[in-house]
Amino acid sequence: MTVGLLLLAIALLLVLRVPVAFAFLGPGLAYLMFTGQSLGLAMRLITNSTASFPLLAVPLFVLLGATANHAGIADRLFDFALALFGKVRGGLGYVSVGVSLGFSWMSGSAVADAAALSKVEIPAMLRNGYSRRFGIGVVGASALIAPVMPPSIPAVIYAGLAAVSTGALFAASVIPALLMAVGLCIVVFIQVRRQPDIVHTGFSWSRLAETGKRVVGPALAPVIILGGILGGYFTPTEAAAVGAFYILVLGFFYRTLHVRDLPKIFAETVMTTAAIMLIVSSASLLGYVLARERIPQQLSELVLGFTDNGTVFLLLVAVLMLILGTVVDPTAVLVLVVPILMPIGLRLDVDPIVLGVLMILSLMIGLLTPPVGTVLYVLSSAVKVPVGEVFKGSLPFIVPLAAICLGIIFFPGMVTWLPNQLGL
Amino acid sequence: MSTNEPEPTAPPPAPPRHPALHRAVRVITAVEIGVAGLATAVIFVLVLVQAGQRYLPIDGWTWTGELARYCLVWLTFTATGVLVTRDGHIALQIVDQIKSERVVRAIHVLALAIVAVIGVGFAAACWSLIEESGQLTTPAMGLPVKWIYVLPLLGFISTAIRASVAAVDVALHGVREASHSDELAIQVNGPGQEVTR
Repeated sequence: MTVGLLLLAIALLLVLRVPVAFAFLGPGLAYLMFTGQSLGLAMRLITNSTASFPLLAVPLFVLLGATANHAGIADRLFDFALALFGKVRGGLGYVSVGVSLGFSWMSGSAVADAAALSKVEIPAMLRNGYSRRFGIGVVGASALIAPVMPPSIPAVIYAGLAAVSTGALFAASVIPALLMAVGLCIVVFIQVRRQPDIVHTGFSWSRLAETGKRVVGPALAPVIILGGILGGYFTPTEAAAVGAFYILVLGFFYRTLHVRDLPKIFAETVMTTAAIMLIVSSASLLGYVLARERIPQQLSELVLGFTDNGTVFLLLVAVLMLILGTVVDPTAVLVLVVPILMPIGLRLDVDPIVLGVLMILSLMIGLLTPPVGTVLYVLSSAVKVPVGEVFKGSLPFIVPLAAICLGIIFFPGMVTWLPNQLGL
Repeated sequence: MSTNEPEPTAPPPAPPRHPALHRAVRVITAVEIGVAGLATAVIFVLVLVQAGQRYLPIDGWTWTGELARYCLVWLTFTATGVLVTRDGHIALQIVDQIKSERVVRAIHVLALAIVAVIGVGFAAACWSLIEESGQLTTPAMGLPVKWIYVLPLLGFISTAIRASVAAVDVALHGVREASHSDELAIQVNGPGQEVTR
């Protein structure tokens, strides 16, 4: 009864446009007051969940992405991908996927990717005869590679909550992220056959070599970050700091970054990090309330009464994440449901790494679907088109992403193979 | 066609409605973002130092991890108020699709009023925790625990005040006018740029 009222209050606050973090904090605080607990407990819970060493990777990966953005790394990747794919029919579609794939090694946020890349790629596609709907769709869907490919901010949060190795989760995400790129390229291949007006750019070895030289520096960033983590040289948090430092040095070396840019980069990092971390901390308060009301145990009994099959459980998780991802921010969902779903998964012999990659990918699809779909809103604002139009453009690209979710459920080896090979 | 024609420029921004309030908010915002940015920079440096310590022939400092973790707390809660003013918190924005401007305005005012009340509640929670902390100190640095909660306390007070002011602003001038007004908007991404969240 108490929990029912609590969830109703949260739903009402969310519909009333109260920020997600405050929609969790308000009812959580009210619960503590009505159950006669100390107000200070609420504050202790939210600060303790924030003061976590693994979560220090969040501001550092945000800093890395913001620095890469300001250093013009995306432009360099775009020029190189254009030189590589320009002659191919529908080349700009592949360029979009390729740039997002390259940028995803430095950025863990789909929203940041969509914001940065849409302003370059969509106008280029429109100039070259691509349909607007196609351009928006491919840019939006490609941006979803960032939160799956390491370094991934949702993976850092999941690893902290589920007490699994961030390095193993990063390694496990590489193959699904690459498959996302392949799947999106297949949709591009199918879609560009229906667009006879698109213009191809030329190909020249000299241009390829020239633009290739310009991406050698950025290409070393994933080597430093992932190589550092997987080689045991750094923890993920340290790798984030070293990666951000490397990109800063690279930006100064390229003269695309100046000391006067630093306040802006740090201010952007602060805003993005605070929005994410406040949700993490507020959801931990709600998690305490749910745990005190024994909701995880009750849900566990409910699910285990329904199925004792790990594959069916993963299917249910994917559907739940797809639904929740359309209405609630992915970070909030992770913080709320991981403590509930993890014990059930463990009882069904589901690998926590497989569960994590599946949850992250399923939730990210929600970024492209109404009503919340943050990437939809970013693209709608950047290209000045209605959200519905963005969604229609994105719809065909959701198909391969959903197919990869199914692939993870039925062939979990595609997730566990790389970490096993690396001994993680 | 002359190439020396001046570029079409955007109309100059309207003068702030309340210059004193405008200045005060800008200063407070600069301080809040400055403190949070400093906390981010400290995290960055401390984690780099920690990574370097492992490969250098020097004794490790045990306090770096602890300070970095508290910096994350300070960064999060110091910027909370600024995010309210900037409408930067992640929220379900389906009400913005409602055609009636009055309904949208009323819902925005209500949401901001609720945020203000929750801000007051958590400021009280912070104060309660400061009082409960007594003489406790942190394990590595020996910092009084009550000090850790001072910045979150100020962050929640700022949240309550900013949400109240924004609620009044939206009630008087409407959502569009209020959000486009420079009086309370924070130019984090520089003037004229899209706010990306």
